[in-house]
Amino acid sequence: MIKKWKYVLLALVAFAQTYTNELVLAQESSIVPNLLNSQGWFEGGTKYKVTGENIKASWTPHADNIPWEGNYVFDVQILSYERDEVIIDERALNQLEYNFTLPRVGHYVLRVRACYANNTTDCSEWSNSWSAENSIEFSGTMVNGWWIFVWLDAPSDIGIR
Amino acid sequence: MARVGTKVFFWTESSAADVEEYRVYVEPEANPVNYSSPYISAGKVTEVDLGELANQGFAPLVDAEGDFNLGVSALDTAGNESDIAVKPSVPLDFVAPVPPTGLGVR
Repeated sequence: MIKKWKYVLLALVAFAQTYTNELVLAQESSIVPNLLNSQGWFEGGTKYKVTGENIKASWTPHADNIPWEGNYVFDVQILSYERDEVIIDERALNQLEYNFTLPRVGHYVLRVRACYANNTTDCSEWSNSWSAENSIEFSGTMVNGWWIFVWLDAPSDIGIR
Repeated sequence: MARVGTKVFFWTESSAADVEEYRVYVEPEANPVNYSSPYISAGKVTEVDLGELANQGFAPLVDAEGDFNLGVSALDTAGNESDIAVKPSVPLDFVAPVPPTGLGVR
């Protein structure tokens, strides 16, 4: 009888352990990726770009100095503010950067999150908190995301002859 | 009617793929160029002959003589307009000389 209870207990512990592991990323805010600027510093903020310009987003695996273990992949989303929808939704990127262009004038937000490489549905929180469903909140949420303002490139090299 | 000479205003096109036209702005030197300035829609080109615009009656250039601020912007198919690239203090002279007088034959 005691033996039976031991097995039940062991099974319960194993289940709890698995369940806990699956929730780690969602609950562990320190594992949220941190976007970087071109100098490699942590940065959430505003980028001013023009249509068709190559834009590179890069990030570190974590927002703090927890050692990188290398078993994560990353999701990147870009939302169009005017259209209130996700226009770029890249999943399970096995890299720490993402290159893209935005062909239309407008306001966009970019965010990133980490997921387990062996279970890409088990992910950290997004690096900032907007959602297409709830629209973008203007203040207090851009902790670690990018606003991207995309304008039309002006003519250049003007002159007279 | 007198005709004025050629003065070509040119630029390098915007990198945007959906540019539909360029606007050319003209202001006297004392006034900065902005989106309220007089302009002409030049089409999808990379130069315009200001003298020809004067001949066609573009008001800021008719009988223009002095220094002017010139600007050019790009418009895309959705109607978005870029910043205005400005060339300040461009000397223009679209006043034709008084025609000769005292004509005769001998």
